Amino acid sequence: MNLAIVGATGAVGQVTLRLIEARYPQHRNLKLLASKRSAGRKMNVNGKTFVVEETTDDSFDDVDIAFISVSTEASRRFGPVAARAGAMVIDDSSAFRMEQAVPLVVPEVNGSDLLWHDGIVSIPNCSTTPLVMVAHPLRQASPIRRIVADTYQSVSGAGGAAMDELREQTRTVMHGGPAEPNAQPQRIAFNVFPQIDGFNETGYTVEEQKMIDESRKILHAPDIALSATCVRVPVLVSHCVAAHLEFEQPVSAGEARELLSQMPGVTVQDDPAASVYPMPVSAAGCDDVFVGRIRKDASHPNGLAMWVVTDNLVKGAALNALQIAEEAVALGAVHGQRR
Amino acid sequence: DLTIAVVGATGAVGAEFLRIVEQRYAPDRRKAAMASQRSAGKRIVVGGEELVVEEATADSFEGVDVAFISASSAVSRELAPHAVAAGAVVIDDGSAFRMEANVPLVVPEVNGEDVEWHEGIISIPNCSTTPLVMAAHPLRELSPIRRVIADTYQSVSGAGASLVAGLREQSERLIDADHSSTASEPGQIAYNLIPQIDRFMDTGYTYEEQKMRQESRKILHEPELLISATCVRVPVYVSHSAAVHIEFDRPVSVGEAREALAGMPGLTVLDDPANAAYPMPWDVSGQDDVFVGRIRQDLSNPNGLAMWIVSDNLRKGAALNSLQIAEELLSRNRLKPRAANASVQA
Repeated sequence: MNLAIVGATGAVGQVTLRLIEARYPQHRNLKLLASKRSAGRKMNVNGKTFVVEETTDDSFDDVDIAFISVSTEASRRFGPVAARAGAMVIDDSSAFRMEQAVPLVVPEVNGSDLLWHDGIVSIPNCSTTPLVMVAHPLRQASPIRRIVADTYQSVSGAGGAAMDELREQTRTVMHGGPAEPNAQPQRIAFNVFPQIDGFNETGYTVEEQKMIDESRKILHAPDIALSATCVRVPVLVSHCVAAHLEFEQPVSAGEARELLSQMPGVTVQDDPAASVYPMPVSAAGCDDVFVGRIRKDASHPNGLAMWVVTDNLVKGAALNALQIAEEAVALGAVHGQRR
Repeated sequence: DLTIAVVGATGAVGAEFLRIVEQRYAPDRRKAAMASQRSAGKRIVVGGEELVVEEATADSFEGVDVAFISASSAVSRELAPHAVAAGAVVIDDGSAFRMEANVPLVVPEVNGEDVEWHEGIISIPNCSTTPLVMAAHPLRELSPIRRVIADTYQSVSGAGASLVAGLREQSERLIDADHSSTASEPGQIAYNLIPQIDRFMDTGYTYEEQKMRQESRKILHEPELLISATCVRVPVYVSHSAAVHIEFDRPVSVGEAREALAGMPGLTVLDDPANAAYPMPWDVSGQDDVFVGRIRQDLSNPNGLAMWIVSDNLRKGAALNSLQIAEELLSRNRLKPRAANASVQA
């Protein structure tokens, strides 16, 4: 398979290449694409030196699978172009996620949805993925009626510039200087702020609405009641979610732990007596979604509360995309219904 | 003309208390600053006057009117009875006495009247409870509250000096570490989150989360209030934040809620999303008020509101609340405790 990585020099692109090296150490049929600004850079992948090229309309001839992780604008610009050239596009942006003809996929949850793709498959937002990964196995115990999710999202979710900004601000603040935000709406060093993306007229942010809309689509459960508060925290890598799930029937913590431990791609880390629970630094660099602090919700007889953590660049983006590609290859669905 | 003793004068809350006293009162009150044996002999300046910190012992409270204690529970349990016996009213910042039947647990703007029945000791709530009840109180006047879900983002100053120092030291040392792999160290708080504050109970909740539940019920006089909290430590120095979801008996509009909150003393509504205006630790630290923003209809529940609450955990979360209780006692003329077995008094 010829793979194109659009956004090869970005945070997610870099993780994609690292994962390709780990999972396919012989694979060299790669095209590394980026903006004009990054074109010309050299990168070594699987022992071969690649020159990063500028992404153009002609970049996708002979490409089987194109991963796009740059910006919503870039996806809109190049997604349809790549699909028309015959590539299967796996897109990490919000450009196409809610379109009817576009599957929105987390393979362990709704992998078969990619069978009906028409050239483009979207992966969900990095804060949605951990939530659906735990909701999916749990609803086997009882249908989920309502989810309240409050997030603790790392700066890498806003890109490399935001990571640099956290580091720079930390340095400056520690030496008594001011911390001016640029890449983000607010200063982040030693601060938290409850805004990720812009606001809707409902008072929710676009990020919070994504969690609501995308979770319903992936779970095929349009009637689940969902509310989220998405907060940026001074963490470099990994997103966390304090999740409160309300079921139709009571579900015990033991039952929940059992179902979660059987879910591929989920690891239970839940041993309070030993202070074992997921944390950003322990999830960073790992493939799985980690879940702990699983307990019956004291405020609702049918409720469970838990703490879910995943590396937002890995399962939250790059790994999920690669897994979709793998699933598509396994199902013979790379070129979909179009051939 | 009160004599105030501050036990735990060299700790973060004790220091904040002295700072606030200085800000609010002329510096001619006699003050006694006390701390552990380890800190005895240190000199601190209050109101332009240098005080020598004494070791706090059972005999330290002669002539003291109000003893403010912010130290460990063990210290509170040891010293409070002696302070009461010496005639002082104890305002305790720890968890030692909070849930006892004869100890009022007070946030003055919410249940100031509860100081009336004190028997020498008054407790202040946990720093994560106070902002929640400050917001819940005016809102429940609109409609009874059925259920609260609260997820917190708590600063390290709530855990004491060593975690503050740890955050500082780690933040600098780990700036350029490779955060893309699991190269963490035990106890790391810089660039990390810890979903555990205090020890765990058998229910899977931590004591911190349990405190929010029990204390809110006591302060609001709502013993059946349903609350679930997840308390998380974040790498912030000062101020606690909480994402809160409140479910009422009936739908409550955002307009109604904003108005009720704006009318609450000690609380400021900071809610202008169009201008990216909402409370944040960075702005709230050093302020007296509890700040509320992101107020909106809860999309998952027609009777629900969601919001974001931030307060300086050392001030309204501890020191300021304590001082306000002393002021409440003064204004209600309740500085000398009633006898526990009161008979008819002349």
